[in-house]
Order: sequence, then structure tokens, then C-alpha cells
Amino acid sequence: MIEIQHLNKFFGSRQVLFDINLKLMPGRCNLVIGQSGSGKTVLMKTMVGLLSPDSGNVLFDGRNFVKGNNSELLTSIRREIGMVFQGGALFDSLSVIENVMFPMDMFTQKSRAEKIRRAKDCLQRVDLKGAENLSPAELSGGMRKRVAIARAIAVEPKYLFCDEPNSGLDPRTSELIDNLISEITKEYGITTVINTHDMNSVLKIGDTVNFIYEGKLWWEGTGHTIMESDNPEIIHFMEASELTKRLLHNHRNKHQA
Amino acid sequence: MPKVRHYADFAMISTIGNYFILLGKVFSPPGKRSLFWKQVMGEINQLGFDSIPLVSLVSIFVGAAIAIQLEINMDSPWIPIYSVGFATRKAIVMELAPTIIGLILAGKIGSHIASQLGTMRITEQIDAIEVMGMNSASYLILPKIIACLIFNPILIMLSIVAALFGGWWAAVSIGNMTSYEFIYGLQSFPHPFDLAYAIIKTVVFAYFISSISSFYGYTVKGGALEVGRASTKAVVNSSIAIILSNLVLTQLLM
Repeated sequence: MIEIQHLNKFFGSRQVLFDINLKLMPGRCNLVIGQSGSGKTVLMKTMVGLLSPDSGNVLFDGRNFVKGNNSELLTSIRREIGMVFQGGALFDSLSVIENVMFPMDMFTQKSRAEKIRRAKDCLQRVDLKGAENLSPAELSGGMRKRVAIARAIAVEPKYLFCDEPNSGLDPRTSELIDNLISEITKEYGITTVINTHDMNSVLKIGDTVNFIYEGKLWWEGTGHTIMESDNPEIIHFMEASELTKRLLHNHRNKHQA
Repeated sequence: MPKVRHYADFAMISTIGNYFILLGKVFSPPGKRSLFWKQVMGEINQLGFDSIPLVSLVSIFVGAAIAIQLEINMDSPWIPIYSVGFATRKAIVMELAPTIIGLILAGKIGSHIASQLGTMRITEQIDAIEVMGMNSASYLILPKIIACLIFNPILIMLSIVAALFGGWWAAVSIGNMTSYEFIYGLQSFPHPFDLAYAIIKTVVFAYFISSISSFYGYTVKGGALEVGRASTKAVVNSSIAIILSNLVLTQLLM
């Protein structure tokens, strides 16, 4: 479980996160939603240690990732983290299989044959068998995301962070990525945190949903209970999507009837 | 106006401060050693071997131009003809090879390093390395510095040989000298410290080119436009560092 306690973050004099308190459960897809600029990415970058908070704690199964000055502890937590970046963040100079092998090269003492076997298994898991020797430049957006997922799960992480995993993808590929992340989460029992503003993802895989608005945690619930929320900011956010606007309309009609 | 000046000064001090902070990160222990040395080899290949054609070509033609200029300007009955070979050697070893080729490498290697690291930064590849628990500055920048420190002296040696060959070829085939006269001049008044002086300068310049360019690339914020700007700043500031340190080293070593 990941627990965030009283997290505050400033950029200069501007406060971007206000006293965030969150509990993110293992074996579930924990979604953080909100408009662009609401502070989702800052929150995720603070959770994985790319940014340091001005105050507050981030606990990974009780281990403080922020205040712990024990570098061994920080490194051991980092080794348990897998992250899928918005654009995939694949290393251009490496082939697909080398990208997936990279964290294993860094952290494991496995033989090269074992690493290749594991990388091939991960690529097969994300349905990319046969793409081992391609370079990242030869991949489509969806394929890049899938390679990024394969790289993130290669060292069997306990925590998986995905920053807008389906941005820039067509609805079909987007659904595929959502399903894949959800399946992997259940299969490995990992704590998955997903930043998104895609309402399809919220409704489909949102085991827990946390709505961030102007740097504050505005609402907590699930992909099912979000439809019942009467919070004006959430309704406004959901109505931006034509699909959820109609679902919301149907939901209200059903309730009124 | 004084206010603008104040901010400009502050920005420069802040940049210098950030450069030293980054160096602190760069010179801290890298991750796994085997991966680190693999990275060093890759950089030697990219930054070193790939520069050989450019360095050779430039050196041959600049060496030839120097020999022709000297032959024309030293055309006097009071100056022995072999002096052309001697002066060509001095000019090439002391300034052309280390400084001019240093500036050319600042353009080639500097822009390559800054744009590579800048692109890695804006596409979150550096963040991906950090999330994995590695010291990205040490893993990405230190191999570039080591590669330049190892390979730039080799490039400068190659440049000296190519420029002397260019000078000999021009003096003999275009000018009025015999091969014997030119080679006699080259061998006259040997001064081994000249070579050491060239190597010392090259090592200092190599450090400036690799570290300054890495700083501008690694600290890029924004998008493609900023990567281009960082690349330009890397080349300009590396060149300025070379020119200034050339003066200081000349004063100190000569």
C-alpha cells in the first residue's frame, strides 16, 4: 500500500499541491484524475521521487520514501517501482528487447540468457512477440506504451505508476492498454497508480478514483460511485466527455424515474 | 537599466552555480560498473571515432594553407627556405591542432552531446533512469567526459600528423620547395615540450567541451525549441571557455 500524508508542494511561491492525504491499495488500479494543470503529474513525480515535497510523507508499505535518509532504503524502494511515462520514455539508442532488459541489467545478477528469456516473456505478455529487434523509432504510439509496460514489469515491481497511459491513442488501443494494465495489476497483485483524464478508463478500470482539482484532493470514490457524485467540479469534468455526459444524463433520468 | 543588469548577473551566477552542482552529481559513484564501461565505450565510438574523418579533412587543408602562407610570406634571401617547414610545425603543434581543432570539436561534439541529452530530458528518458534508482548524471555524463579526455588527445595527434602531411603536400606540389627542404625544416630545433603543451591544452579543452555541453543538454526545460537553444549555448560557451583557457594556459605553460 502507498500512503500519502499531508503532502504539500510549491514551485517558488506558487503552491501546486495542498495537504494531500491518500491511501492507494495493492492489487487495484488507483486512478488519479483531474484536468490538465490540476497537479496530477506533480503528485505522481513526487510519489516516485522525481520531485521532493516541501512537507509531508510518502510511505511505501510503511517505509518513508521522503524522509528516509538511508540511501539503501531509498534504492530498495526504487527497485520496487515500475513507471510508464506519458510518451513511453524508451531509450532511442537501444532496441525494444534491450529497453526491456535495461532495468534487469542494472539491478539483477541474472545471466544474459535469463534476462533475454524474461524480456521475451514480458514482451509476449504485452502482445509484442516478434518486435524484439525493432528500434523505438519504428514503433507506433500504442506499441511504445506496451514496450514501456513490459520494461516496467520486467523486474517484477510492487508498485506501478502510469502517467496518462492512453493519451494520444485511438479508442481501441486505449482500451487495450487499460485492459493490459488492469490485468497485470490483478495478476501480480501490485499497487498501480494511474494518472488520467480519460473517462472511459475511469469507468472501466477505476477500482479507486481520486479527483484532484487545483492541487487539492477534491473527491474519493470508485469508477461506479463517480456517477452519483453531486460535486459541481466533478460533474463539470465528466460533462466534458460526450460519452460520460450521456451516461450521466441517463443515470439522472433513471434516478428521477 | 541597472535592474536588468542585476538580473543578468544573477542569471550568470546561478548558471555557474548549477554547473558545479551538476558536476557534484556527475562525479559521484555511477551504478553498475559493467554498464558504465559499456557506456564509455559507446561514447568513445560516437564522440571519438566518428570525428576522425572531419578532423583529418580539416587538418590536411588547414595544414596546407599554413604552409602556402608561410612560403609566400617568408620568401626572402635572408630566411632559409627550410624555415617554412619549421614554422609550419610550430604553428600546427602549438595552435592549429589543439585550439582550432578544439573549436571544431566544440561544434561537432558539443552540439551532439547537448542535443542528445536535451532530447532525452524532454522525452522523459532521464526521468526514467532516475525512477529506476540510478544516478542519471553520472551514468550519462561521466562516460562522455571520460571518452573525450581519452580520445581527444588521440584526435589531436592525428590532426598534427594530417596537418603536417597537408603542409608537406602543399609546400612540395604547389610551392617551390623540395621534399627534403620541408622535412629538414620539420625536424629542426626539436622541442618535445611543444607536444606536451598541445596534449595538456587538449585535455583541458576536452573537459570543457564535454562538461559544458552536457550541462546545457541535461538541464533543458521545455520542448524542441529549447533543445536547439541549448545546443547553440553549448557550442558558444564551450568555444568561449576554450579561447579563454587557451590564453591562460599559454601564459602558464610557456
